Amino acid sequence: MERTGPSRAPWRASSGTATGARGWMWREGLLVLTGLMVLADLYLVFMWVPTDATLGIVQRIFYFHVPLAWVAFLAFFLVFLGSVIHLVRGSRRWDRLAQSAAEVGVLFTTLVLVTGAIWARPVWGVWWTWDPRLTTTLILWFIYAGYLMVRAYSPSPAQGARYAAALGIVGFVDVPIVYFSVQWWRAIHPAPVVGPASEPGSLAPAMLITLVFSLVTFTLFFVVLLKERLALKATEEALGEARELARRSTTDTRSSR
Amino acid sequence: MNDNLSYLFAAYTVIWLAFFAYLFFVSRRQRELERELRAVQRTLEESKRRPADGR
Repeated sequence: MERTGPSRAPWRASSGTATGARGWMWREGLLVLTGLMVLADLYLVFMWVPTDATLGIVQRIFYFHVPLAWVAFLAFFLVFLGSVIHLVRGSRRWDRLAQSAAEVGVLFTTLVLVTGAIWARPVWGVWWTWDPRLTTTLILWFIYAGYLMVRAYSPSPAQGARYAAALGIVGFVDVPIVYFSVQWWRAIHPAPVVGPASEPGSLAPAMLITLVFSLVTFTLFFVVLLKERLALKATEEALGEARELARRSTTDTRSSR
Repeated sequence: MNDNLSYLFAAYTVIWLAFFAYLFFVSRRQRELERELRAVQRTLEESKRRPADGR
């Protein structure tokens, strides 16, 4: 019997849950590993690392706030990379990665802004101030929220993908601006403690270990969220293709009558 | 400084609530779409079988 190629395709393109036992084991393994890392991270943050002598207990927000920002930058780098490859090669796979990374990146940036405000209230006495770091981060949030809106409200998915890719490339310019804003302008936000703009020895060893562990944990958590979102995007596309096939099949049946 | 515990609690609660809410919505949507995909697939298979049955 002849196989119905197109009708099989949507199943093949479906989510990670339909990719067989190997994919399932990978997914479950990653989830378990991430869960264990999160538990270990919580232990380090709340039980192991000493309390900051100046800022007190609220300083512990830093061990999640900084990794959230780092992962948001990583997500937007993936959007940039995916957008460039999509525009050059027309690759749907990279476009899918760019869109999924943008959505997760916006989630992480939202949490950076929220946790930053919660930290600022007891330390600076205000929830928000127009400090260069805060302002450029808010702009970053608007850029990628705009990216998602362009995709959502575009007349056709292909057009939306192209416009969003352009925004994903141009918008990435704001990432180094956010990072170096503390150095470039007079700011009240603390200086970076990781990366090229950080000063060596600015953190006590126990604090640095906890921060690095948190960075790894949140990067892993990001991979989990990204994989789930990619699987959803693949299912959305497969359903779109299946609906199109069903529509064509209905039209063919009517015209043959 | 310990009176700032509520801020620490709020920050961590917001983070984990947001993550779990996101994961919940993504997996719920995934299940819905997979169900819909299966339904469309069934319709396609039935429509392919029908003309053959009629002959």
